[in-house]
Amino acid sequence: MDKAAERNLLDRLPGLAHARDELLGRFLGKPDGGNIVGAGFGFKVLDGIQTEVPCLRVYVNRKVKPPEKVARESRIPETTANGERTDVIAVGREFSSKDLGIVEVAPGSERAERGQPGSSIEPIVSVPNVSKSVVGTLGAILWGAKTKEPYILTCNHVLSLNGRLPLEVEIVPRGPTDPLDGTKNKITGVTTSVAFKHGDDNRVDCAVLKVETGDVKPDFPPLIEGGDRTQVFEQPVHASRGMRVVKFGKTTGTTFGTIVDVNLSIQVDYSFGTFQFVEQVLIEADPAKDGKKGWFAADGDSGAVVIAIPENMDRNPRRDQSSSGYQNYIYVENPTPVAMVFAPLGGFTVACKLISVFKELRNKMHEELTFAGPY
Amino acid sequence: MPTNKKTRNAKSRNTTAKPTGDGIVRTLNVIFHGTFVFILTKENKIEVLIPKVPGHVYRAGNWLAEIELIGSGNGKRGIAVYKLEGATKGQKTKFLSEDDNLILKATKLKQGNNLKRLLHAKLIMDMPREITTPCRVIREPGKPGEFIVNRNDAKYKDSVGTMQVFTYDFVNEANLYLKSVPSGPGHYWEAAPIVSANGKVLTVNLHVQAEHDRSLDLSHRTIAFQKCLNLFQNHNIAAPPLGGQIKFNGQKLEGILDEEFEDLAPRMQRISQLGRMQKEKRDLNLLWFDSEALGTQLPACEGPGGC
Repeated sequence: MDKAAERNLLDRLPGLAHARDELLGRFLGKPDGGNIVGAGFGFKVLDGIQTEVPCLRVYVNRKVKPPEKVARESRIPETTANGERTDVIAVGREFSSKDLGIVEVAPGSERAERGQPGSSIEPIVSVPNVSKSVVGTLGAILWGAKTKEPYILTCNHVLSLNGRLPLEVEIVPRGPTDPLDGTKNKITGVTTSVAFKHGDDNRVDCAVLKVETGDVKPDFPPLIEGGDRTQVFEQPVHASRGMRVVKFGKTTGTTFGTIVDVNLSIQVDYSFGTFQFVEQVLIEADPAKDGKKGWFAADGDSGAVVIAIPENMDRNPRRDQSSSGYQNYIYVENPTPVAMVFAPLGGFTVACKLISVFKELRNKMHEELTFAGPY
Repeated sequence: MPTNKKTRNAKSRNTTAKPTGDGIVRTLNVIFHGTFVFILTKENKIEVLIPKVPGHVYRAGNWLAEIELIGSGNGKRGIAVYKLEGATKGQKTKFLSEDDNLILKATKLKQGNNLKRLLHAKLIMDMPREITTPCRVIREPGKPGEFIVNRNDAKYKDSVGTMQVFTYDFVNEANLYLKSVPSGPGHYWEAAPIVSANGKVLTVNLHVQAEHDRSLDLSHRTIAFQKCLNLFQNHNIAAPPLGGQIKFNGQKLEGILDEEFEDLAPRMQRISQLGRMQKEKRDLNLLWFDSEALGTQLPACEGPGGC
C-alpha cells in the first residue's frame, strides 16, 4: 500500500473511529450482535483485491450467506451513517485442536532453550484464586537502565493475573527437552504489571519480572542479524498494516504472518473477567504448506514477541556451527520488534503494540527498558 | 521467637498481591444453594456449616463453573474450613430474617467428633452488608407436620428459607478468595466480575452448592433438613414432610440473573440440553427458554427452577 493511501487512511481516522464506536454500540451486547467480535480500520477488499479505499473493518465469527438471511436492520451497513465504507471479515474457526497438527513451524528451526525468548515459563502458583496451570512464553529479556538488571517480558495474564499472584514470584522456565518437573531451575524475581481496567480501554497485556536469581539468555535463538548471531534491536518500532512478521512461541514455535490491522478494538475474555482492548494489532498467519489455514499462535504462546521481517525474506532455515554443534536458524536482516502476542481472535492472533508496552511500563516503573543484547 | 515472627510478617506484607483495583466499591454476592446451617458467632462472624447429606455434591465457584469443595472426609483430620477473604465487613447487618428462616436460639451444636463426623466443611465469613432469602419451601396448608415442636426455641413456621444470598462490598477482586484455615491450598476460585455492555462493572457472584446434581424424590428434602437438625444437641424439633412447593419471592438482586438461582439438578439437565443444541446447530440463546417437557424437574432442596 502506497504512502498516499496510508495518509488518506490516517486522515480519516476520526471518522472511522466515530463509525466504529457507533457500530459497536449498536451491536455489542445486543441479541443480534453476537456474531460481531471486533472492529478495526484498513482498506476495503473487493473481489479478493485490496483497494485503496479506507474502511471500517468489522470482524465477525462467520459470514451469513446469503445476507438476506439476516434481517435488514441487523445487517452491517455497507456505508455507515457518517459515510465510511465497511468491510466484513470472517475470523471464526472450528473449535478443534486437530488443526494444530498443521501449524507451520519453520522446518528445522529449533525451539527456544530454557530462559530464552520463545521458551516456556510457568509461575509457581501458591494462591487459591489462580489456576495451578498458568503457562506462557518468555517474550524477551529487557535491560533496566537504572537497575542494571535483566527483566523478563511477558503478559500480565501469565505473570501477574491482574494482581492475583504475589509480587515476588517464582517461575519455572522450560526448554524443549526439560522434564516436566523442572522446578530446580527456578527463576525468582519481582513482578511489575500494567493492570487491566474495568469499563475502560486497555492497550497492553504486559508484565515484567526483574530477575533476581536464575539464568536467562537474551538472544532470540533462531534469529540472526548479519550472520553473527548478534541481536541489534534495542527499542520496538511501530507496527503497520501489511508488515510481515515472525514470532517465537512456546507452543507453536516459529511462525510467520502478516499484520492486517493496527487499530483493532475487541473484548478479551480471561478466566478472571472480560476486558476491552483498543489499538491492538491483528495478525493473520501464513497459509500452511498443505494449503490449509495456518496458525500464528496458540494457547501457551502468550507473551511471544512479534518481530517485523523483510517482505521477501528467505524463510528456509540455514545451518550454522555453534559451540553446541550445528544449529538451524532463520536469517533475518534488520529485525524489528513490534508487538507481543496475547489473545486469539478466531483463527487470527491479537498482539499489543510494544511501543505501548514500553511506554506504560516506563510510566509505571520510572525505568528505561531496552531489549537486552547478548551477555 | 518474636523477632522471627516480625521478620516473617514483614516478608509476608511485601509479597502480598499488590492491589490493582481502581478503588471503586463493588458488589460480591455469595449465593448458597442447598443445605446449610448458619451460625452467628460472638465475634459477629457467620460460620456456614455444610452437613453431609447422602446424594449431595459440594461445590463453589463462578456461576456454571463451580468445582468440588474438598471436604473433611471422615473428619479424623478435623473439619475442612475455608474463610472468605477480600470482602468488606458489613456494619449493623441483621442476621437471617426470622420471617423467612428457622432461627434456633437456645439450641447448642454438638461438640468435637460428634460434630466433625457430620460435617463436610465449614465456611467462615464476615458479616455481609445484606442478607437476603430469595427462596423458601412452604408447608402445604392442610398437610400434617410442623417445623417446630419446641415453641420456646423458635416460632412456628409455615415456610423456611432454602437459599441465602450474602451481599458484600469489595474494592479489588484480586483480593477475593477462599483460603484454607488454618493452612492449606484453599479453594480454587477466580473472582470474575461481570461487566455490562457499556463497560460498567456489575458484580462478582460466588455460588456455593450443597445439593444433589440429579433429581431425587421429594423425601430427600426431609432427609436433608433432618441432617441439619442432627448437628444440634438435644433438640426437640421435627421436620414435617416437606412436600410443598418452593416459592421464589421474585426479589431482584443486583447482578444476579434469575437463571443463577436454578437448582443444580435441573442445571445439569440444561447443560445436557446445551450439548444437544450445539450438535444440532440450534440457537444457543434459547438455552434458558423453557422448551423442555413439563414435569420432569423436581426442585428438591432449593431454588426457583421450575417456579
